[in-house]
Amino acid sequence: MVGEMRQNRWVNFFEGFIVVAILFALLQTFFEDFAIVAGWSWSTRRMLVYTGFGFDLLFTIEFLVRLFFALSRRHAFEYLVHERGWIDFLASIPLLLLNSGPEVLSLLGGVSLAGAVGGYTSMLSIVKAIRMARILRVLKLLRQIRNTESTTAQRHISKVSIIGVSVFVFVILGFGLLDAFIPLPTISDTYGQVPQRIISYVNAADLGAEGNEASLAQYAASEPMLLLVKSADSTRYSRFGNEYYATYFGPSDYIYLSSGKLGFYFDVRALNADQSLNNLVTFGAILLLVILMLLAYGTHFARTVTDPVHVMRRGMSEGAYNLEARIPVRYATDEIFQLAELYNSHYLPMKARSGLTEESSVLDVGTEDISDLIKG
Amino acid sequence: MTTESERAREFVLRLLSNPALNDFADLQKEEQIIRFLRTNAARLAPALAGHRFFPGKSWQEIFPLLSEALYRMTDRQLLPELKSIIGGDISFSFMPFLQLPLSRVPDVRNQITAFLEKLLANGLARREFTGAYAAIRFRVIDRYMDEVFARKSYVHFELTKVQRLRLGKEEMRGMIHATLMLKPAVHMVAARSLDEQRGRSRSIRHELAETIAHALRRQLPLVPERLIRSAVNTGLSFTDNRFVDATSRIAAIFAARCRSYHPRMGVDRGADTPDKSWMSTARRNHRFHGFDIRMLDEFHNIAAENGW
Repeated sequence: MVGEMRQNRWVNFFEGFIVVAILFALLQTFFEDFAIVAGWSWSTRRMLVYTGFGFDLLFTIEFLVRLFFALSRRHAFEYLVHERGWIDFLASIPLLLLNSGPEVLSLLGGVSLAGAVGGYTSMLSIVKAIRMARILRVLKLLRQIRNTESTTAQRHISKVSIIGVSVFVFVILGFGLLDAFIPLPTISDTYGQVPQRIISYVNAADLGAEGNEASLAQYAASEPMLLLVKSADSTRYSRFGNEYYATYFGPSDYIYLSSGKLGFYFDVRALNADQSLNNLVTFGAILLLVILMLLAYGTHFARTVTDPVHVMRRGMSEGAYNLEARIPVRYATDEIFQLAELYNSHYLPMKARSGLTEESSVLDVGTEDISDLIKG
Repeated sequence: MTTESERAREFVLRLLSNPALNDFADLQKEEQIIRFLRTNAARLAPALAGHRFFPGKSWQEIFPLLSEALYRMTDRQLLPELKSIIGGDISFSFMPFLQLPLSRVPDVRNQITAFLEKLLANGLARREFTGAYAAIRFRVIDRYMDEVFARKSYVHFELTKVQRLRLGKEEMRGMIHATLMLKPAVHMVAARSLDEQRGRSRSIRHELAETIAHALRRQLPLVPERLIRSAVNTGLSFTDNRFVDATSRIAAIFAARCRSYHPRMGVDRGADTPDKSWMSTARRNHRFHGFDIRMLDEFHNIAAENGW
């Protein structure tokens, strides 16, 4: 008994901790993209990348723990399919292995993930697609938060929310993956052609040669993507000072391409910001969808299904309970309210005539409540 | 060593301290506990027959001990409160309209108080007094009379034009409260006759009402005839007796309503309010109870509009 209570306390603590972690993880997801759109410093963004990795690791552990216990109780299928284990999975391991894990490794190794713009944009599509799975964590909250006393309402609202959010996420994820393997005509393609065009022009006009720095600078002014041109021994052109690069540029903010003796650095922050803005829009839409499901649909469902059922159930099971089920005029033709009408107009009067109401006590006390008196 | 009555008192005290009973009037608490004891007799009997309470006694012996203790404890609270209600809370300013000088009102108060003390010793009348007392105690009539006088609709017409009570709102409340106070007298005076003449209906026959009124006049010589009739006629079915006073009809409705009245009853989402629900159900059962359906309609509308 004591052991069971202690175990329950641990389970409650664990579930509470996970709820808090999910909320913080959602904030982190929002701020990671917002930081890119707002042009926050690299040190701040790097911290957000590390915390994102931390959350992915945490939810991976959570998933593995839940899976372990499900396996040990021989109901892994039940957990994965009916208890939303698949959400736990999608919002943990793929993110850790394909998104935040490689990102952190590249940071620790000090290397950029992208070698070429073409490769960069297709990789960005995959990463973006996988990152969408983070938003599935909103659905994990549905398991933890009870917004209604009715289990029926809770289950229905969860189901509808999961369908809505999943469709949203999987469509975006699907298109993201499709884009990575079968390039679709997007703005990234146009964007991806710019570096090659710049390199070709610089080479053709020999702007990288010594003595042409002024012409190169003049040309670079018209090409905002061009950050830096280096030869083997010197910097031919640089848009910003070193301090600026150190403060605002991380490995994913630029790409490096070489041509002959020249090395070119291109600014891809605008492309990243565009992707992040899309992510924020998706994030906001999903969050709003879930909130509306919980508040608007949840309230509607309770009002038109579970509340009248609850009132009728109490009326039928408790002798002293004689409140009528309220029938909103707008929904009076609903089957449930037709039933409520029968309850109000037939069952309650019959119950009152039978004297059941007057025979029942509201005294909510069982013999166990007075057992100390009885046993002495 | 404690006596049986002390043990019964201890047990009843524990039941009375249940938070579910906090907001009820004394007689309602008593009724709830009696119902609880009856409903749970099978479970309580073996436990209470143990060495701690009433060793070796049967439920038939235990129940009277508990109910006696309960009545005593209720009376200790109820009688002073009743005196205070009759002595001051209820306005007897309507008496002059019933041809009784105001100077006699204190005597009437005393006579009614003494009568009620006697009435409470009668089990059936005591039970019937539960709803009437709760209606007075929670001043349910007051707020409905405010609305009745504001609307000046059917109920007001029945009171002032049909029953011809040329009374103000305060006096009218007093008259209905006094009717409620004396309503259970029907059950005290003619308990046996009631048992014999009642079928499934709760109403009494007109002839029996006449007999009861006659008996009551002897017991309450100072109380005006119209008030006694108003009280006795609460037992008549309006369906069968269209002449029943409006005050009687109102008192009958609210005595029944307030038997299960809870001043702070929580309303579930999806449920209608308590008064509205009760009035609505009573409308559908008006023939069974002998209530005036048009009065119920008006009270139902009042309850609906005020969220009662």
